[in-house]
Amino acid sequence: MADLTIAVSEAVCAKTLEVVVANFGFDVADRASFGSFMAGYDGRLVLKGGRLELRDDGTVRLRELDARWDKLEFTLGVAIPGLSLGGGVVDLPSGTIHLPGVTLFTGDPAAVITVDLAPFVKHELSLVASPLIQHFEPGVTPIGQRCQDLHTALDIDDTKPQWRVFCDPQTIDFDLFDFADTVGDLFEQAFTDAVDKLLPHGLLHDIILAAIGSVADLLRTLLDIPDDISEWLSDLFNVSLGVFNLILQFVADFFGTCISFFQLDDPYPMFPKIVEKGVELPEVTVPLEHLTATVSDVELVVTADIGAVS
Amino acid sequence: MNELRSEVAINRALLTNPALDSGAIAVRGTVFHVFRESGDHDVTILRDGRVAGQFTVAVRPEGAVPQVNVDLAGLAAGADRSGNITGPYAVREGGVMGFAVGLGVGRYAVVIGHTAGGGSRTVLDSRGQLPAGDLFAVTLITPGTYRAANLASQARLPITVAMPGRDEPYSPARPTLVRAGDHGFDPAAAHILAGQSIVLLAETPARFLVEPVPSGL
Amino acid sequence: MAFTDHSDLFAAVHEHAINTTIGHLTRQRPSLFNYATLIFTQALSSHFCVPIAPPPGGGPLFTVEPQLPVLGASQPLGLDWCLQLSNVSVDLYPGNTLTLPPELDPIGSQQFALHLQACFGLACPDDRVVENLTAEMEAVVAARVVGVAVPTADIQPVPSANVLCSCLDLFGVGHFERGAVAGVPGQFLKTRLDNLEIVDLVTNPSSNLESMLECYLRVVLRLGVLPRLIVPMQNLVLDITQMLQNNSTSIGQHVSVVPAPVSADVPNNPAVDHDQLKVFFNLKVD
Repeated sequence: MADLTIAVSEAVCAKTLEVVVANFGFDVADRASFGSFMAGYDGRLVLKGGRLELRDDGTVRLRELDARWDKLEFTLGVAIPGLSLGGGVVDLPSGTIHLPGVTLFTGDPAAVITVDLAPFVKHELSLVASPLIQHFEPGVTPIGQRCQDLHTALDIDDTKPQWRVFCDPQTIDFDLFDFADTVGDLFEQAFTDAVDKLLPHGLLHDIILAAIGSVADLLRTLLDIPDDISEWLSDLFNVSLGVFNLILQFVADFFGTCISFFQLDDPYPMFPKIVEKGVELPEVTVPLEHLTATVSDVELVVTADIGAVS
Repeated sequence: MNELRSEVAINRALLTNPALDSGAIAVRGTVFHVFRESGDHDVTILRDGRVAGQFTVAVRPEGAVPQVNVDLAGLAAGADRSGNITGPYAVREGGVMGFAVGLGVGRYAVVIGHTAGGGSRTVLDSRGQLPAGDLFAVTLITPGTYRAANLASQARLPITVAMPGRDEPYSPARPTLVRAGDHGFDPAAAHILAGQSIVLLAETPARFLVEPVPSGL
Repeated sequence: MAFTDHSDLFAAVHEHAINTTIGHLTRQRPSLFNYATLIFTQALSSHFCVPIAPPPGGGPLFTVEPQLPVLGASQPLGLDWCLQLSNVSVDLYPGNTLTLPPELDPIGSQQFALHLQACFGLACPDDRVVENLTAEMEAVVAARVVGVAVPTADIQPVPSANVLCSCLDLFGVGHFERGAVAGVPGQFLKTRLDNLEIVDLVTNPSSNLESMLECYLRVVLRLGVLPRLIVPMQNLVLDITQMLQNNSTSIGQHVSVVPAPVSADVPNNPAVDHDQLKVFFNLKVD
């Protein structure tokens, strides 16, 4: 029989999940060039809600966590080649003559737009996890800067050895990016405004806009979008920019190696230091060994032994 | 934040509306020369009356493209100290070279000499008249009334330029061809939308001048 | 049946864990179990009845206590001594590892049995020292008889190079309580000694010596040692929900862990049975 048995009910685990979720924040930013356009993003993903279930197969299930973007600023820079007036062809008996257009700009202008996509996408996160025990050794157990910052926010002390109990994800279900159709309108408006600002005021402005025609069509042509912008954008985030995979990796790391649900100082300070009759008596600690964590459908049970006196 | 890259600027020549003269090619004007004879041709570019560059065009009976368009301002800027412009250029016999000006306020002329047989025979001096078969295209942007004149025949062509309607389909790349012969211009008047081009075909040697007509006249 | 059927949090500490913890306590805080006069830091440092290993984290080997007064001495004299408690072990109900003396056997439900050894050492002066001091005492008395004022000096230790030790086996019965401590928030686990028995201190004719010593040691344990062993209840779950409690404001709540009230489902909290000390907690959310 183990020296110590500590059982934590599903309610306590669920309440702990609430705290963990409240402190989940994934800041991610990147940019990439795709030839005719550049795309960049700067976002912060947070979690809300969710339910925790302990299962009698020994796993912990986190369900229906809402993953939303606090901000998801998307920057798109599109080179607008060859805006010109005039041009065209004239057919003569001797042959066809191609008129060179009158270029409107020196160099190739680019329209750069930044839109906040946060309201147009949300995801749901579920995962099935197994309890994972780690013995944390300061200076030895690797811990990244992002994780250290999270620990500081949660008052998890990385300066002392601890046993840590993680809910290590075995499967993660995270919705792919699926931007709402209405994001197309946002883009068209932003792009129209951007093109509008490129053009000089006055007569030329209206003529060129008339020549460009539908900004929406121009955008689709420049970005080579076959269908609607929302689908193109979803593919960009899911595949080309790789944000989906980054999120999966972060979720796996967050729950599996960064934020443990429970921490036990090792050695555990059973009696604090005290001053008696003017003399300081140091704390009395007991080493913890052989930690195990098992899950049933009602509780998580941690067992440990007290290490021998040396 | 929507922004324009700082190194890009509007083509300032488009913001003014000067007359366009086939004898002094500027932005919005293009002279097209038809090479009727095969053989090497020397092309001299003049900017504001001074030689700005030279290059050779090889006109071949076959095995060359039917048309080459060059930017006189770009070529002059790229000429070395001796005025040589890197080619080579080759055009098919009966083919066309278009001489346009991309940017700037310079006024250009082109002198083409046929150099076959050891000598040089001028086949085009755009400062004078364009030979029959050559063309002069102008792109008109500011709406209003214009007049094209053939200074060789004193013929006149009224041109009206209108703003494209809001919901009308519009493309700037729809030029209108007008023939200029002994009997004047055909058609006798032209109507285009702002940003489109008029192409004047010299059926007889001609010198063209296209200028806006001030309102009220 | 689950551990948390009647509470949100549960901990069970096996008596083996308690005994190992007592071992750590003995090793790391020997001054809780060893009492002596100051001379034991110097001349008598190697004369303890039971040797004391220096604690690995630093700290004193024993608690310094005043000397034993030589009664009647005309100038204050003190004898050096030491009292050491060792071989402490606990046997939780149903009590199957310690054999209690008949006076205490069997332990009742919710109780634990206790065994320890108490060694008393007296630094007994040799005759020569006593003779020298006798001469001094006589001189003081004589001076006072003839009316010479002799100021009362500080307690003078009676030097001795020899410590006489005697050890007794003690058995006890106790129980655990949970309660508050004045001026300190939270609930504490308190260890209570119900009875103490010295194994067969026989005198001829029989006397109250055993009872007197039992009384003295019982008082020492109850007032001197056990109050210094109160433990915050949360220590028994090793503060496992510390992160939750520390960060509950991030979910707009104040979450704390409180001992479950005694009820039909939780008749004792803490509870002692099956060789384990068990505690029950509930989550309190404000």
